[in-house]
Amino acid sequence: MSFTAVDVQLDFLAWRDDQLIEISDQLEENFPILLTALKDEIEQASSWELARATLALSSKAEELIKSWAADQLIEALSRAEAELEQTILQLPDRFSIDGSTWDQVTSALPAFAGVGLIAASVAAIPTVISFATVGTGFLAFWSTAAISWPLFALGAAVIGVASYSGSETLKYAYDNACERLFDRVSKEAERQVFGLGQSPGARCILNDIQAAVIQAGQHRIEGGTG
Amino acid sequence: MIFLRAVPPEVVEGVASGIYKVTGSVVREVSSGRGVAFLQETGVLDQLLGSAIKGAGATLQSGFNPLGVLTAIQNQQIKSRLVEVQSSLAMLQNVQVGTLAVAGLGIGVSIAGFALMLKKLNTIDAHLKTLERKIDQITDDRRSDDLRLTLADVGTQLEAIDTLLARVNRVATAEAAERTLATLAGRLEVYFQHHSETVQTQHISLEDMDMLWSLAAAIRLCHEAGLRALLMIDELQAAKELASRRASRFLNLSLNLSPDALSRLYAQREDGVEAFARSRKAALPHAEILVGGLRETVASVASQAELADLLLQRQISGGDYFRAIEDESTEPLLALPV
Repeated sequence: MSFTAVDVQLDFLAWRDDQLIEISDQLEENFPILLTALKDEIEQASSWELARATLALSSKAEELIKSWAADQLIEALSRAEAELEQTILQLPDRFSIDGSTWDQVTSALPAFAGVGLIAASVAAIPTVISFATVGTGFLAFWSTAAISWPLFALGAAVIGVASYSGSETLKYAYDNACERLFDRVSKEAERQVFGLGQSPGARCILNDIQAAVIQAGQHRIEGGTG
Repeated sequence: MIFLRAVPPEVVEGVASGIYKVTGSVVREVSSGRGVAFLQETGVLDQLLGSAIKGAGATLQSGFNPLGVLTAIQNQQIKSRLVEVQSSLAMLQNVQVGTLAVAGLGIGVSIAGFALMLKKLNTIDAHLKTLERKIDQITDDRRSDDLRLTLADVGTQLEAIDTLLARVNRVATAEAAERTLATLAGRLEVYFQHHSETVQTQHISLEDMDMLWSLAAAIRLCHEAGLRALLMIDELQAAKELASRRASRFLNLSLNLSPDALSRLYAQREDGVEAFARSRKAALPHAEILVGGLRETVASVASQAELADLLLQRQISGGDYFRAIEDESTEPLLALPV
């Protein structure tokens, strides 16, 4: 392999590794926004609603996670695309990278996204995606069933009965139950977003966003330097 | 010295201004990718490094340094001290101190004699033993014994090359040693791959990363010794091909490792996002040094292929090149104009 091909590959690998770290940082920094939204949702729902309409609340929580994940994906893609364009701009003059050198660079690309932890997510994402065409549909892998709704429903029922009776003791029980409900929802969000409590390599929002960004980058690189 | 000289000020300035960049040991023009000069460290750099390390309070050994022995801050301090002594060393700002190199900073061909290589090998061996006690799966499948034998074989080959100048059949000995070292490096790569694949499916410890680092150091040592053997007998074309292939293999070893994945695997068992984030950030510098060290090695070894090519074109013998480096007593860094 020529030195130029090695040099260019190292530049692309540096881009890949930077993006993976930046996405982890981004999701950790923005996770409190999701938690606040989930908490607000629980607090805003009336006790009677909570008791009767757990299904509505579950789909609202799901919607909040989806919407937050889509925002994160858009932010990550936008940053990754800008930084990749910068990397490409800084490559040696395209005329000094001949066809055979470029072939050497692109031949290694299939392994580019082969970072073990995101392998399952990479496999689940459409093969040809680009920065311009990445949708958020592939992120919708979680479902109501994936969240432990029977536990959630039990929590909601307790809240409803407690609050409806109007007693101070039961008000305390309501607050407590509300807190426990939020704990359950935030644990579920941690599992969905970061894969905490799952086996390493299991699909989660973080892995899916990383996989999408790397796949889109790979597609851009395969398109050439022009 | 007829071909190597002190780094010209215009090259230092070009790197500082961003017109040039240093990749591996080659200074290149950013816009065209054209090579401008090949950099080669000398024994003077090793001495300067020794004093700078003491000043920074670091505990580097002259042979092998386990992963994470230097913090990022110490790394910066040491490099700043080097620049204070010799301004041309500012060109090496992106190079890590305490790398996988056998000695110095891994710029050019290794300046380490075989005594130092042997010392480094023994230190790696001792360090691996310590790590293996903490990492069950390696010892479970008896890889530990095989690894010991492989490292012992590397030591035997280093001794063979060390006595090269005293031998009648120098060329045959050097060629045989180089071939055996390549085979042993291949075996070490298998250990590396095995451990690399294992750690990507489970919670990992800092010892796991250190194991990969130590194995990579042993592989690099095999390469440096083999390359030196070929250069000593003037097999420049073979040295060029060896370096080129070895660079590709180092690249393949590093391809599926990412600092983010390693640090997340380290933090995987934490309970709650805050603990997870804290743990990930604590492990990230170690993972970055490991992956960065492998990538630096790719660039450094790939540029050795360019050096061998340059020596071929200029009809400079490998022996003369080594003598010129060894004779240098003032400059820590020399340049061979391309």
